[in-house]
Amino acid sequence: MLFNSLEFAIFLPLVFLLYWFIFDYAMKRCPRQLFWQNLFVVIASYIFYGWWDWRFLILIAFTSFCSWGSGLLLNKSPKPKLWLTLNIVINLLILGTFKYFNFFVGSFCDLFGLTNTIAINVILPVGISFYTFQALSYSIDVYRKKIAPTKDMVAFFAYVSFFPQLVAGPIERATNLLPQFEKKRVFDYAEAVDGMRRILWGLFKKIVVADNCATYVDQVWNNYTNECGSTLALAAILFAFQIYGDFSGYSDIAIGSAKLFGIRLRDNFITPYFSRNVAEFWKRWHISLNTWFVDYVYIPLGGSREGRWKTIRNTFVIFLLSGLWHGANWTYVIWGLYHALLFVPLILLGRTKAYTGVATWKQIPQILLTFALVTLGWIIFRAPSIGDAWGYICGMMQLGTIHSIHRFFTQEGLTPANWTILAMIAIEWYNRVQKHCFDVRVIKHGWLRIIVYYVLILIIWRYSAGEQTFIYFQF
Amino acid sequence: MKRFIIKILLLALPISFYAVIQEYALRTIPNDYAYKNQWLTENAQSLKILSLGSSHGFFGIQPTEFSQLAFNAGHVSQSLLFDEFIFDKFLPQMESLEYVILPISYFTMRGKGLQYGAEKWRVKNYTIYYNCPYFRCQPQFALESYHFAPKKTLKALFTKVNHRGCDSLGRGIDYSLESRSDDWQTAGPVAMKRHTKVNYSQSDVDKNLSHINHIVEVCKNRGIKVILLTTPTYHTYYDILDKDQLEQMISCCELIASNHENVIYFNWLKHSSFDENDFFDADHLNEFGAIKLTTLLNQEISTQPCEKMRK
Repeated sequence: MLFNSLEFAIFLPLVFLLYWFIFDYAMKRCPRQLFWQNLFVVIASYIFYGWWDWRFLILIAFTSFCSWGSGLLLNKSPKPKLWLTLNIVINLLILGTFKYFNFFVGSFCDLFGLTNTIAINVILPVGISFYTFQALSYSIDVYRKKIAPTKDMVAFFAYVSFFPQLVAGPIERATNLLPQFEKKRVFDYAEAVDGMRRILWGLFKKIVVADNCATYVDQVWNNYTNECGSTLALAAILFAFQIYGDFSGYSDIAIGSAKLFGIRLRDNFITPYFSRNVAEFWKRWHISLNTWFVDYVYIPLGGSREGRWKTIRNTFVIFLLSGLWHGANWTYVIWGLYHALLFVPLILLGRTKAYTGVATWKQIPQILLTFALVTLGWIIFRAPSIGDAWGYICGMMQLGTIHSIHRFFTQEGLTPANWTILAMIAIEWYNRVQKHCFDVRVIKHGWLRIIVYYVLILIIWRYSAGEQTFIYFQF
Repeated sequence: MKRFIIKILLLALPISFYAVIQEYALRTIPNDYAYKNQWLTENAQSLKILSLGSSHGFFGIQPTEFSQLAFNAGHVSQSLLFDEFIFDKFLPQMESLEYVILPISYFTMRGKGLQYGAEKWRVKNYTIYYNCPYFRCQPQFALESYHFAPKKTLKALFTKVNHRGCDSLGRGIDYSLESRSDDWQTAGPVAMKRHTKVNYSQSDVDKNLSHINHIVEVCKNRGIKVILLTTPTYHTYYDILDKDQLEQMISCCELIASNHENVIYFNWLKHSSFDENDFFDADHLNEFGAIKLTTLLNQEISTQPCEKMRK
C-alpha cells in the first residue's frame, strides 16, 4: 500500500480510530489491553504489507521470529555468540537470496566468461533491507547488553512490522522503538497535530516535488544520448530533488503517521542539502541507515580511533556496504566508492566534524559545492549501468552546456510544479532551526496556520502526478 | 482525542465540499466519451458498422460515407483493452451489427496500454462516462477532480463550455486541412519516435493479441465480419518506421486474418490513393482523407458482404 494512495487514505484513519477507540478506550479495563493493541498493530501492519504481496508476509514473520528467538536464546545460552551468529547468518542468507544471489552469480559468470545457468527467478520483497536491518539490530543490541531481551513476541513483531516504517524506514533501533510497544501509549493532542503537519509536508515533497521531477528526469534518462548538456545537468539537479522529496517525504509521512499512534520514530533527514561538506551531508541524509552502519560495522572495525589510514579503510568498508545495501548493481557500489573518496580529503585534513549547528548565508558557497558533488553522485546512483553513468556525465560536460543554459528557465523542461522546489528550499531554509521543516508553530496566528495548510493541500491537489511508487521501496 | 478529530473534520469539510462541486461541474461538460456512450446506448440496436481504434481511426473513418448505419467509437490513444471493452459493453444491444472495423496502427501491438504513459489521464473518461470497471479503485483513473481546477470548474458552472470534438456519428473534427500547421510533414519523425518501441515486452504483444482474438471470436460466433485496418500515412512517417516493429504488426494482422475466415486485413499504410491534401499531419488523415478512406472501405464491404447479409 502506498502512502500516496486512496487505499492508505482510508486505511490510516480506520486503523487510527480502531487503535484508540476499540483497543485503548473500550478495552481500558481489560488486563491484556496492551497485548491486544499490539496484536492489532501487527495485523494492521501485515494487511498494509500484504496489500502489495501477501506471500512475503511469511518472510517478515520468519525474520521476526528468528530475531525474537535468538534474543531469548543468546541471553540464556552459555554461547551467546553462536546464537547471534546464527541469527545474522539466517537473516543475511534470506536477504542475500532475494536481493544479491543473481547479482553475484551474474558478475562471477561475466568475469570468467561462463554461462549463467543457476540464476533464480525471484521477486525482490519490498522493504526487505529495511526490516532485516531492524531485526538484526535487536539481536546485536541484546548481545551487547544494550537492551534486555523481550519475552513479548507480539510487541516484538509490532516493532519489526510497524506499518509506517516497515517498507522504507526509518530503520528503527530496538532501544528506541521496542520499549514504546511494551508500555501503554497515551494520545497526545500536540503530537498528533504535529504528526498531521509532517504527513502534509511529506505528501507535498513526494507528490508535488518528487513525482513532478520524476516526469522530467525519466524523459531525459530514457533518451539521454540525444539531449544537450544543459538538459542533462537540469535533469541531474532535478533528480537530486526527486530522490530527496521521495525519500524524505516518505520518512516524514512515516514519522507523522507513527505520531498519530503515540509512537515516536527517529528523524531520518535533517535538511541534507544545506550541508557544508560531504561528512555533514551523511550526518543529515538517511540518518537511520548511516548510524546503523556506524554502530554495527564502523565502530567494531575500530572507527576513527586507530589512525587515519584505518579510518579511511573503515570509511571505504561502510560506504561499499552502504552502496551494496541500496541494490544489487555495480552502480550502487561505485556510488558508495565515490562518496568514500569524497571523504578521504576530509579525513586527512581532519574536517569530518568541521561543521556543527545550522548553516548561515555566508556558507552558501560550501553548500553549493557539496550539493554539486552529491548531485554528481546521484547520476551514478540513477544510471542503469556504469556505462550509462559515464555517458551521461560526458554528455553533461559538452561545450553546449553553458550556451544552452537559458533553457533552464524556460517552460521547455520545467513545469510550474518543478518551481515548487524553490518554495521547498525556502521553507526548509527558514525552518532549519526548528524541530522539523514544517513546524508552523512559528506562525503565531491560528487562522494563518490554517491558510498555510489549505495552500499546501491545494498545491498537492493541483500538481499531483499520479500514484507513483517510492524509489526506496526497491531497496 | 475528540478535539483532534473534530478539528481534522472541520479542516477537511470545506475542501471536501468544494471537491464534490468540482467533480459535479466537470462531469457536466459535454465531451466525446459521454456523447458516444449515450449514442451507442440509444442506437446500438440498429447499428450495422462499428469502428473502434485510436486517433488514426477516430479521425480517419467518416461514418457518413458508409451505405449502412455506422458509428465511430474510436478515441484518441484508445488502446485495444478499451476497444474490447466498448465492443463487449454494447454487444448485447448490437443485434444488427455486421462489421467491426478495428484500426491497427504501427504502435498498436507493442502498446503497453492507455493506463501507462503520457495519455493515461484519458482512462478516467472510460471509468466515468462509459462506466468501465477496470480502474475504478484508482482515483486518478476514476475522478475528474484528480487535480484542483478552480478555473475549469467556474467555467463549467457559469458558461456553456463544450469539450465535444466529434461529429454526430463520432468522427473527430479537430484535424482539418484548414487547421493543419505549416510544418505538418516534419512531424513524421517526431511521431515515429513516439510510436517506436525497440525494447518491448512480448507479454504486451500477447495481451494485445488476446484482445483482438477475443473480439474476433465473439464476432465469429455472431456472424460479424472484422476488418483489421492500417490507415494511410504520409511518406515522412512510413519511410522511417522501424522495420521489425512494422513487420511484427503486419504479420500479427495477417496471421489473425488467415486463421479466421471472418477477418479481413487491409494494410493501407502506404496506399497510393492518398496525397498530401488528405493528411492533417504525417500519420493522421484530415476530413478529405477520411472521406476517401471510408469510401474505399465501403466499396470493399459491398464486394465482400457479411454472412448475415447473405442470409
